Amino acid sequence: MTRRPGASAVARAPGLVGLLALAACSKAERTGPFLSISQEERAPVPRGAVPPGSIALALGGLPPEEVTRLRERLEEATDASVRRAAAVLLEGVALVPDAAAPAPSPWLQALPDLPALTAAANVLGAPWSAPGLSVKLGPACDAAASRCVPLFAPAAETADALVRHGRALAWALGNAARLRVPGAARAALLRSLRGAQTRPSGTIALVFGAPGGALDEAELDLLREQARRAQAHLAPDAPQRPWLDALGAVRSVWALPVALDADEVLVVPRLSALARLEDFHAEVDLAGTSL
Amino acid sequence: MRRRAVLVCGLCGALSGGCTTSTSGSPDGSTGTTTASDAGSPDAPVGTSTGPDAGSLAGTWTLTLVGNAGVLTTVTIGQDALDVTSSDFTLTATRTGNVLAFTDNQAPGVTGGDVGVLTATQTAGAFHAGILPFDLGGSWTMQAGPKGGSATLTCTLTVTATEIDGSCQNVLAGGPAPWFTFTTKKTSPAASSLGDFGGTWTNSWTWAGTGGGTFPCTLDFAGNSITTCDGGATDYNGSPVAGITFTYDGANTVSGAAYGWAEFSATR
Repeated sequence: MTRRPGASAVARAPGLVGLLALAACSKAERTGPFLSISQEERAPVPRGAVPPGSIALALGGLPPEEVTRLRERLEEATDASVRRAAAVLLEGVALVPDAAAPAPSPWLQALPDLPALTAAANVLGAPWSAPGLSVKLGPACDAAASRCVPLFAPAAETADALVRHGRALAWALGNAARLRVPGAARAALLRSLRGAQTRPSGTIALVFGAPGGALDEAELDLLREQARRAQAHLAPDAPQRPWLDALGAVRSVWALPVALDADEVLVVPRLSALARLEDFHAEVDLAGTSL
Repeated sequence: MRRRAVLVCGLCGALSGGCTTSTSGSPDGSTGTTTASDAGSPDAPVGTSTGPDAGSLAGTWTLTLVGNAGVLTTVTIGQDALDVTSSDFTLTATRTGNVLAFTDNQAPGVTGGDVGVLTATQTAGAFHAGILPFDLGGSWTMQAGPKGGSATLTCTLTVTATEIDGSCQNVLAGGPAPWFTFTTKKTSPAASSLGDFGGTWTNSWTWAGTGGGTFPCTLDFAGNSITTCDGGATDYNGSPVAGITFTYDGANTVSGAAYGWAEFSATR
């Protein structure tokens, strides 16, 4: 396995060398994609809580069984909601913490894996914007940009605050590890990485073995149906509604905004892990050594 | 008003030590950026220190929060000063002598707004907070309420290197009504860039009233990180300091999560 630019260090584990081929990838350092960073006077355009396509991308970057898990959680949350409503309606029971409901929050647990969804929303967030700052993703540098840096540049602390803040806006792709993995080890590595990403204290949000794909349509149909059923039990202004709307309309096709070669794997860190990227790279390395 | 009181108290805690852990668990996680490690202090054995501000959290930070498509919140930290600017609220804290004054505007840009104030008066005591540039030690009394109105909330807090305790009461027409109390005892020390916070603490949080209860939680401050017990209550059915993780990279990035799921990162 070779970590291409985008990782902070070469593979540390000696075992990787024997299992996975090493290949130089200097080409990626000279070519795109690039982040074009500009100072903007305009205020950023407000966006919805669930960017289009982000749920499908999150599910595409999670283990395949996540679609089923999500539907089952949604069903549990709906049932709990119905039980609570029935208790109030029929028995006058107050809405106190309910031992019958999945703790701590059934609706929260029914959402798609949150670190994955947070990361997927950022992956699809280009152009990223914040007060005073805009960052575009493209195959070449924007001539009008104040700064332009390769997306998959080696992660290193920079003294240039504009670049630092620009890369922070594009945090998911900007800190991703792009690995070159030979075919023989590929399936096992993907399994190992996806095992790592389910750990609550883990650092991995998303794992992609291809730049695009399609989710299981039959499972998605069940998920959409369950989402629509759950909506019926929510108040019109319930904070969960945008998520359920998005789940009810989720499409099967997902696509990354960057290309991946056939032998590449892209691993995206969690937002909460950005201050401990060494742990993220160690976890990626560990997945390789455990093959 | 309740939401404002929680926010003001939470952010007060960020400057007042006793709620440092609870502020990391504030609703938007933003106050989590006010705690990190001091790679440049004598208490900072861990972490990479680069850049002119690496020895202090002082500076202006931009926050990325779960659910936000862009960075919409900035936090400016100075010596005993804090300024938080978001699209839907602002909060400032300034110190004059032994008095900290907080102003929380839940409707910025709106004339008359929805402004709450909190005043915290300190009787100084010894406490070293590492690179957190706040004088936290000693005992505090606090009053909070709407700007220009009577106090609706009173709190007390004591901060020492081995114990941090606090309590808050709602001020009602019929007399004060307890809201919550907590005790936090250090059970073992550890090297931390957060100075006297370093170590393992046992927090016991008690919500008063119907539906309340007492919830223990272990807090670990070590190196450049904070980790609290599993969980993450968003209501009165658990400890508000559970489910917090926080890491400072020793340079210009902090990240972590509150409630066990509300991720954040910030860049200076």
